[in-house]
Amino acid sequence: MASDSTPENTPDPSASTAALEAHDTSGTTAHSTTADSTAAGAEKPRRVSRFAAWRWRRPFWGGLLLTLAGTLIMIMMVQGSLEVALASGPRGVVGYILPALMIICGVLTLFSPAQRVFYSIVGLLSSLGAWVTSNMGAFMIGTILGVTGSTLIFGWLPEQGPRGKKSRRRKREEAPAAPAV
Amino acid sequence: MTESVTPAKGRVRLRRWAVLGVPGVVATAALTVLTAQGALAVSFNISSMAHTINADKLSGTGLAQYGGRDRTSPNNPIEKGVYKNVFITTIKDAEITNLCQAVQIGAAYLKITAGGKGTPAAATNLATDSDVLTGKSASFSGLEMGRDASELNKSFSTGPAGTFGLQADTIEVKNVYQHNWATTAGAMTLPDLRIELTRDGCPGEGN
Repeated sequence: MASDSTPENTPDPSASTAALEAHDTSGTTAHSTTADSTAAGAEKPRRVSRFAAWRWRRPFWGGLLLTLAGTLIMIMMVQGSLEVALASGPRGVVGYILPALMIICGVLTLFSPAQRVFYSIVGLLSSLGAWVTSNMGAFMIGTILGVTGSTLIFGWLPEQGPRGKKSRRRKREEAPAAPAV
Repeated sequence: MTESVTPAKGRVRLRRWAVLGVPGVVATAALTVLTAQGALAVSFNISSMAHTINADKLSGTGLAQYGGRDRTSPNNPIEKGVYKNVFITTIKDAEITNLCQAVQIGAAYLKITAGGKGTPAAATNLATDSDVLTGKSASFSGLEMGRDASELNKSFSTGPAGTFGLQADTIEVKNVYQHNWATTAGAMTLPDLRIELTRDGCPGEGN
């Protein structure tokens, strides 16, 4: 990531990842940083609910899925006998720790989205581990939801322009016109 | 409450998703395949849901059996915090041929079958809390009946002091049927694993 540094000085780390992504998709160079923000700014101001605005600023669905997956696996585990789980060795205890980690990563993704890459990777590994330790990840369902959720968190980027090819073309057109700051 | 300024909307980008998504999906598939081949052992800890286990043959070493009481979860919608008298069977190492486990979910059954094609399913530290257990032709070796449940030493667990206990070095039962309230397995390999949601449960007694 760091190797793709732009000549412009972008102190906000989220802005630099956005620039990197724009670079990936459109094939334009350093100008895409400004182009991206211009494209986003060109949208007509819309009134959205506070909750929608809150959702847009974080990987909401990924975080929610990961939390739900961890909760599902945990519910199945806490109904089991803790006594027997403890008797059957350390593996029994890990069965509770992994779903707990999934819930923590999911919730933290929602309330502290800046660290989302770390949470998504820990969430993914916990989801996979829960397959082995916790009833096959609540009989596959929890593991599948957890893997989906954590990869969605990883793939999420803040402050993206409108979807589709049209916006990409517009970005490219506007890129040369953007003033160099 | 509304905000007049359009907030910048974040989105999932496909290429970025694929960086973690592709390895994640591959790893999930690998876990499934390894489990279905019996190469990877998984742990189980199921409780509060009545389920049945059918098997053609169960053979194991290190058996202990004693009475106990299980309480269903206070959140259980059907049976709120009800005590169930059960007997607890723990086996150190067990091999199960043609295992079929079914849990009823509404009108359907979640059915798990394994060990039906040559290689038996294997479990270490298997514990079941049952209220029905039937079998054809059971054979034990080193059987001790009537030992205090707290002093059992051939398996990995002991029961409450002052109650009846039974233990054996080895056990072999054919045509096993169990109605269980809880099942725990420390490590279980499930060759030829199949998980399905069907209208009918396992073939055999109890269904």
